[in-house]
Amino acid sequence: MPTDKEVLELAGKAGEILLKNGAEIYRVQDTMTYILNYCHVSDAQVYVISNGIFATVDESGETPYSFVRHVPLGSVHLDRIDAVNTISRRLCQGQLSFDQARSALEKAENLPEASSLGTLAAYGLGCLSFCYLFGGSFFDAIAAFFIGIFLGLSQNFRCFGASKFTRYLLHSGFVTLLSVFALRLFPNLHLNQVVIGAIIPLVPGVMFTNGIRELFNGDYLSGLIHLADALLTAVCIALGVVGAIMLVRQIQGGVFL
Amino acid sequence: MIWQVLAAMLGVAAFGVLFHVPGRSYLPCALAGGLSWGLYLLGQALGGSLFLATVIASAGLTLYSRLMAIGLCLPSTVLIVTGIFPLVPGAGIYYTAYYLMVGERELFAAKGLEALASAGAIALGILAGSEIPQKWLRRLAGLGIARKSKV
Repeated sequence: MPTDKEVLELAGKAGEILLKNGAEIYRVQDTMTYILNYCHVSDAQVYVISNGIFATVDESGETPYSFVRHVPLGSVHLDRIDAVNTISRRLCQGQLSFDQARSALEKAENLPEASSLGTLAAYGLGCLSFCYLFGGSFFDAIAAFFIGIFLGLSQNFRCFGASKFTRYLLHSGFVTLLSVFALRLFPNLHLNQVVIGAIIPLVPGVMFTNGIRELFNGDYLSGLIHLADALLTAVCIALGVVGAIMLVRQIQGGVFL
Repeated sequence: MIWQVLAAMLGVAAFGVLFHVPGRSYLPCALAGGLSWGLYLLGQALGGSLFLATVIASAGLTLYSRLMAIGLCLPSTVLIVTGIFPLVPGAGIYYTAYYLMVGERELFAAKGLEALASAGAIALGILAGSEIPQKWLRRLAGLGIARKSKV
């Protein structure tokens, strides 16, 4: 029989993996509460916001424990969320023992990244398809494909430890410059459609969607944090595009593209 | 329109790789993308405004994701966040920035408002899709599973 402290640590670990990899607040809170209740922990309290977890057990009893974690907004990793979801469901259905669940969580936390070749192909194909969706011609889509691959490569540069927003700005500026360059080589491309296709992987769709859903679930604080993040990211992308085109105009002596 | 829907499916599947969706959910994710873009195009073809088409598409997507989530034991968020990408106003962000830069103030305001409106429409659609009680969806999904197991 696991002690209260062990249960709290297991539930906290599950919550931390969920939150770090982009799960919704209610899912984190529900999963932790399910695990704590399933293991009959007395007087459990869980509070989750978009970048932190607070939980206590047995607060007024003999052996109170608390669990506090700062969980910075990270990159989205949906299969880790799915894995933790499966573990907590099977634990609460009695198909997994406590120790099995603990080692399964270790594994879920370290589920591998996609291979770098696959990631590059995904950047390329994503840009290609969205360029076509937003009115690009066949050739625009091909150009977006190659620019997307360069964008995927550029994600490996940490930009000298710059903040997330500076990185977004630099990346969107970079793809815009590439698009302008492609336009110089092949004048019958359409600049707008190529750039739109190429910046789509940067657009904060997940943050935005999660933010909205959290607001509707009554998690106002987390929802606003995610929406603010999405809005700032969108502004940075826009600034990157503007900056790059202004730069090109300066170099060309005020001639507009 | 078929090519458009196929492109949306391909694009969303590619984004699935970037967000590391579980291996068994690539096809449902691609279908989610095709569904949201297809509903959006259909809504516009039937004379709906951009706002209305986006509301319908995101509501349909939310319902689809919740149904598939029950059927496949997947977190619904996997399908929603990937399938929504064709509707997210990425082009709106670009055109807003673009017209700001060329100094077309009216177009800048119009495009900015349009981007905000489609963000609001997505919010409204997700709300509409989320309001259907989980119990009904379970029953609906249960019917589908029962029929499948009979065959």
